[in-house]
Amino acid sequence: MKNGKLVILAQALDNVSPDPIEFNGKLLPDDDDEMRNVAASFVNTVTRNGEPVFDEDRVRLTAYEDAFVIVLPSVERDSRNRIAPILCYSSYNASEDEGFHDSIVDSLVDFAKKIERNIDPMHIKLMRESLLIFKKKTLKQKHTRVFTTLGIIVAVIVLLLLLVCVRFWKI
Amino acid sequence: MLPVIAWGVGWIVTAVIGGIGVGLAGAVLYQLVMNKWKGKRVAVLGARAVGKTTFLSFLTTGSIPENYEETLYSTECDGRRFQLKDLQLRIKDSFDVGGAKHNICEEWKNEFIESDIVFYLLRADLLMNDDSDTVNRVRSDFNIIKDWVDELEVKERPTFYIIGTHCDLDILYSKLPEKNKAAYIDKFQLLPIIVDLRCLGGVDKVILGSMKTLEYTEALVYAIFKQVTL
Repeated sequence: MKNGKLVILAQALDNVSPDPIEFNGKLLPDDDDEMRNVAASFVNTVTRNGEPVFDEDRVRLTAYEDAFVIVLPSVERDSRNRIAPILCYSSYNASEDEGFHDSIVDSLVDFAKKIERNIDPMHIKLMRESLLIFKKKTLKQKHTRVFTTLGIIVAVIVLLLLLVCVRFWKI
Repeated sequence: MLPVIAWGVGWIVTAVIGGIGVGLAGAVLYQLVMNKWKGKRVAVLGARAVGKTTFLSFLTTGSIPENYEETLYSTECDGRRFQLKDLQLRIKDSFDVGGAKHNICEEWKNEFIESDIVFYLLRADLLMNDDSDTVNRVRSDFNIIKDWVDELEVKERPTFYIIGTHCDLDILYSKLPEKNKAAYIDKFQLLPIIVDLRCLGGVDKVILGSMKTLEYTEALVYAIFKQVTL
């Protein structure tokens, strides 16, 4: 990630220790409540307002505008034998398209290693697939917005020209 | 002529004022009926792995999850008309929020302020065994919740319930015959942390049970809703 924000978090497996949260590549200290709340706020904005884009075998991607939250299960289970996923928040910027997938996937895999978790390669594959779908969707929305704006501008210009012509013809 | 005009104007003014009055009364009545029809919004709060998702899932779907997954982010649950035995309650769409501390500041507060009924779930088995992590977490949560309660006008405050879960994991509770379970509840109510919470104000009821199986969950929710729908 060059400019965008990147949040990766998981829940502590013992359900008692502080949850590991990484913000732009830095693991947040346990007592940094301010930054932890900021990171949570980014995630919640997407999950509360966004729409599901991908959901397969517990790999889920939710998107809100150009931001997304992806959740994928780790192999490990928590102290209550629950599935313990890892969550990643980021955004897509078309001008930084090169290496978008790899950058997100690498960051998540690194985080998983740091907190001693493993991810099934199948889930990594699904994660790449979901990111691709999200990227296409975001680009399509962006193109639609650009063409709609262009269309409106052209329509206004044509209308103005018509008005000028009518006025000129009348004179 | 002038008195006739004055008389006419008087009647028109009276009619307008009367009309506005009837309109307002109608609007208030409509709102009351709509509120009753729309039902209650519930918030389910509590630390990690206390059973929030199971509880909300039961309220909104009538079943408990087969494959448990940690709740890392808020998920919307569709409301429904909840019916259990002779009790029924209409529940609005609600959010299943995570129990991690970083969710409290924003997510929990949103839910608390927006809801009519708040259920705070805690591990009764751990509190009964004086587990310091649980005691500290509950105390810390309540210090934050107290500030939200204070921010709200009395009439805006949600009804607040403490729900003690995982009682089946406490041998003391599971060994007791059903008729003697009240003694366990009395003992729980006398725990220093629970006494302190009640002193903070805002806590309306304390109910204990388990959600180990669908049957246990039904029994717990029935006990809760007997209080809620009273």
